[in-house]
Amino acid sequence: MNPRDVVITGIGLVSSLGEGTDVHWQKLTTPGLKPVLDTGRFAPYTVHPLPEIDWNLQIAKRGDQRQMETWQRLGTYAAGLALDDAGIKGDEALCSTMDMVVAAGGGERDLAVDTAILAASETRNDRDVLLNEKLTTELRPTLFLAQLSNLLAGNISIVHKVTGSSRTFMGEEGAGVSALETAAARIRSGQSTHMLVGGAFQSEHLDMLLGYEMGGYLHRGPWQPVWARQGAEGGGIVTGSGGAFLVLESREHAEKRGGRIYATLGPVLSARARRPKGELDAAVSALFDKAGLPDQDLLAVSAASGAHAATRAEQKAIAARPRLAARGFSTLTGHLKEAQFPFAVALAALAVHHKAGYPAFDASERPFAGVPEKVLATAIGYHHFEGMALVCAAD
Amino acid sequence: MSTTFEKVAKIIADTSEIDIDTITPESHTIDDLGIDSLDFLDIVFAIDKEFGIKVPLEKWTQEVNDGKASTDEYFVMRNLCAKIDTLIAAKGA
Repeated sequence: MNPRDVVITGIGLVSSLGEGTDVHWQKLTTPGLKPVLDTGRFAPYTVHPLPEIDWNLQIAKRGDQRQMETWQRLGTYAAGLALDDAGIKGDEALCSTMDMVVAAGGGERDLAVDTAILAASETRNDRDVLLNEKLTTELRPTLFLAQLSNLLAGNISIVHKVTGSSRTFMGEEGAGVSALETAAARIRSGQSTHMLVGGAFQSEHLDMLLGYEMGGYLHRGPWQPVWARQGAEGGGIVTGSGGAFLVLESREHAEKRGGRIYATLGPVLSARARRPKGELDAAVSALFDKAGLPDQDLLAVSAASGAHAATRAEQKAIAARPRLAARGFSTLTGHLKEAQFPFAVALAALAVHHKAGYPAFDASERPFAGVPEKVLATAIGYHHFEGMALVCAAD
Repeated sequence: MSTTFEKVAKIIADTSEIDIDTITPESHTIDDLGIDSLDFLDIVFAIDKEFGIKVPLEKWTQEVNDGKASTDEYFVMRNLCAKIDTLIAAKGA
């Protein structure tokens, strides 16, 4: 044991299944759990919608809520849950020295303004003037702030008074992998003692779905579990709204303040396969080899998106390792984009903490019966970037 | 039909956390109501939309900063509403 081991002491989760660690653990360990789906609102696309959330519980000021859209509220809310869970929320000394790394996309666009600009551009040729005109007259000033990626971190600072250093990584699963990789490295090197790390994604917004569909990534037609979408109509991803934040601390810091330790965060690995050059399968396989998997039955919490090529590569690598029992949680939560990897690591930590695995989330997943002392978390990005982390028992 | 004052008071109450009953014609939006600069941007945006005008907020702020006008002149509710009425009248002229 090392005083600079990275330990997980707080978890904040929101998904279509509900909010908090207890709800997620109970639901995800219930065999045969059915996903919460909304098949009508964005047809032909299915989404896993947000549960009912009382934002006031984590974001007390209405003015703060108004200056965010759902994505930033969701992240700020999940961050608050994690701070609460770690027993840090409202502790001025701990929050003011806490560092933060956030994985972010862009905020929701104002669809009415975008639509009005497009409509007006059909009848006007001075489009540069038109753009400025609309931006200065139609866009609510603080709504612009709601679209800035680094203002999720900004709002967490304002609402929860987490005011140490702050960094934001942008874009998809890779942002979540980089956030955790960086946070862990800073603690291991002694640059930070406690950190708030995570991300959120609001999928119930047309422009967010458009972002996937421009690349042809969304699954169409009847819903299927994440591993069973190859060959089905569309690109394989069913999105969900949710968020995942973690409180990471050095072992020494956590023990000194008497914090509850869920698990130790082992190596965090990342790769950037050049997929157009056909490197994906080999890169995913190499990442599994590099993760230093123990020679025993091992539970893997997989953030597989369902995107055909990436998911197929991960399935092949898992099939070649018969002692791995993977659990593709996107079957039950949908793809949470930037929050995928923090969510995977959180579920891995819960399994280690409870000394029990998750039942298969669909019929294709191998059974796992043992006590998981180590759990692998994987995130093979739907478009690019690959990451893994090994989550280990607390002591 | 509601008056300019009633409309502006409603915009302020909807935008910030101020109880509409505490807003009077004599209230100073910054000193008495405590509206912060970010909220004020949204309030002015909503006023522009409501009345179909463009409040020259930058010009007003500049005049205050230059010492050419006191904040009361623009930011006490009664005066603010009078300025809005002038802008509405100018638009119709």
